[in-house]
Amino acid sequence: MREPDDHTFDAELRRHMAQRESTIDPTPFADLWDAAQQAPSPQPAARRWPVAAVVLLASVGLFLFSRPGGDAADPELLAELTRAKAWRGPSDQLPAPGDTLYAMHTPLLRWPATHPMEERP
Amino acid sequence: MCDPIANNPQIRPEHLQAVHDDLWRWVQSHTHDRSQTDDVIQDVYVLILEGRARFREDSTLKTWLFGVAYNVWRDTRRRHARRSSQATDTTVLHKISDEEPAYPDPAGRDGEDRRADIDRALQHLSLRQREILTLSIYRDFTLEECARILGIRLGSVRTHFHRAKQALRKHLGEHDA
Repeated sequence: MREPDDHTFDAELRRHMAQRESTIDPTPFADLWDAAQQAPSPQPAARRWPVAAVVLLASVGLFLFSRPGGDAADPELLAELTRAKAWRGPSDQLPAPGDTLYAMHTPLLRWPATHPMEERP
Repeated sequence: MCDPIANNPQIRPEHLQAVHDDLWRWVQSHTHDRSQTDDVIQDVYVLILEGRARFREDSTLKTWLFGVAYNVWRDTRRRHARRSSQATDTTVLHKISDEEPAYPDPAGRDGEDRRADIDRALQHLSLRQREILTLSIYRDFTLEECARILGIRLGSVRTHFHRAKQALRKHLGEHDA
């Protein structure tokens, strides 16, 4: 609810604010409107989606080919991991390349992996 | 008469022109910088031209425009704040300083003193309180429209409005006493 002298007070504030603003001349509408019309438009979404599709396909391809058994895998790291994973013996006697035991487990390096026990002669 | 804007068919350039001066001055009261004000207003027009801001006729065009301009200014202020750690006066609407040019004073010295008192009293208000007072008392927006422009709840606007009035009266009353 407004107090009785609210309108007088509001009018005084309004006059005060008007006097503060009256010293400033705005930039004409035409100047800013013309500038806005000439502003470079951002790339529309319709032109952006093919780029996004290519990036997505490339990401999927990279993911697939970097899986174990794929071309992009680090062969040394893969061999080491596979050797450690396949070993069922004591942890301080990991088989080394060239060992009979190591050769027995090498089928794991191929994809899909087969259980070493199935290949045991 | 100009054609409607393709991405905002409810708006014609002359509608924008009718509000332009008022909008420009309001943004200027936030930025205190002519070129920054021009940038904000130009960005508003770009948003309208490209249809990234769409007028849905659920308020007056003037209310909607002020709301768009307020959002653009807020984003600009955030960008500037990130870019520079300098203390800025963007938290002060109606910056009051001794360097501001004195306006003609038909009421003489007493009127000048009174205006200085009002300036001081306004400085005691929060930014939000000053924004709401300026929009409602000076620019004749309803409190509902103020809420829409500033993107806050109506209850919050009412509270700020009444507290601002009380604080102004208190400061001016103390000074008069």
